[in-house]
Amino acid sequence: MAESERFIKELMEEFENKGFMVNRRGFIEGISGIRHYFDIILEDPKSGRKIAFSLTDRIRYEHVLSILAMRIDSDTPHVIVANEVEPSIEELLRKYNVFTISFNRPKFSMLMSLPTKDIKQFTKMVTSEILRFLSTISGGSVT
Amino acid sequence: MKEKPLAINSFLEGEHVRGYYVEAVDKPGVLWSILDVFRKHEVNVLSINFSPTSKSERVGLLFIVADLKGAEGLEEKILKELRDTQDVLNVELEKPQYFGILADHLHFPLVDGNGRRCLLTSEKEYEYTLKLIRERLGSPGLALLYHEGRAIGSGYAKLFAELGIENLKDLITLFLIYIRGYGILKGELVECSFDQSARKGKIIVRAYRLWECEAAKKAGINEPSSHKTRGVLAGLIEDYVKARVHVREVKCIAKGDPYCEFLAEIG
Repeated sequence: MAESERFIKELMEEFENKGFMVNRRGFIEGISGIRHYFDIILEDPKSGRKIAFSLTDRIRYEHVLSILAMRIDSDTPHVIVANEVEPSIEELLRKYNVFTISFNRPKFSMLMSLPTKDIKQFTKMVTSEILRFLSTISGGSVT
Repeated sequence: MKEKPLAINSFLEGEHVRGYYVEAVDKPGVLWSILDVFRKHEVNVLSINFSPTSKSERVGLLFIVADLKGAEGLEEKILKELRDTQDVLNVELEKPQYFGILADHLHFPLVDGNGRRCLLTSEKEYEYTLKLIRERLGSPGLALLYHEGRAIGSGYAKLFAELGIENLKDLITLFLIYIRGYGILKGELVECSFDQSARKGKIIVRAYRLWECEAAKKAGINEPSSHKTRGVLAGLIEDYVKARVHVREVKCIAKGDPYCEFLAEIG
């Protein structure tokens, strides 16, 4: 994840600017009472609404079951930032309201070569994309 | 009397064991006449499988497993005498086959007393599954077990509703009778309170020898492990009270407690 660290940092700053609290490494309890680990948990202090982030290297088919199981168990919207995601998996996960940011997609692959100013601009765009995703799932339950 | 394990399906090993399928008219005294053949030859009967026949069906099927050690030459004689027994319609002999295992091939599928199909699973199977789920899927896998259980519990609630259950206490009591019959656990309802109007309540269920936690313990897991059973309880109660139920396993044999105990909080 080293090459995407800068982007994550910018993204979290962007959410902080929008009033979210950022907690690194935390757990969210699911409907089952089981606690699920996330790398970053954002919380809107006004509404108490949370967004969970997982940072990973790649998402392959063998990971889908566990991602969807987590989705069934938790109402918290889930965003996964990965270096590599199979396009068909990305599509599948989106159907179940899991948002993925993958650096193998063209719009992200050029990210690392961007000057700082452009990265800020780019993270603003991703942030609004995530927020738009959140508004479409309104509550986020897929169960 | 003391409890003893019940061996189902007579998976018996040994070169001297023999199985006899006996089709006979279902009427008083027939079983006695059949078993008398074995008594006369001083052959020990190890197990008998048979199901109650339905009203329309007058013929029952028995699978009798006998130990013929020291009486090897008698297997054909016993077969003939069973065939000659009054009200016996047909008899077939079954010998141990692959790897010396004798199995009942004619009773299929397994059903409960109401004719609903049941499956037998071994503790070993679950032990492997649990290990795999933990290793490959982590916490989401355990959550899946819970949700699978929740769906099962909801199914039980619907089944018991058809039987005319009128209150939560009866629902849980009947549930505990059922799952004891299925060999899942020996349960005891310790506390049950439910305020219908406020949709709030508390239930405590104690479970002895819960198979899920026994298997977990054998797999080296030493934390509360009954995710599926928790889910079953949650689904059962949720479906009945129409409110969210939070079930926690507050005691567990996997972590060294003498029994498992579930605390269900409604609302």
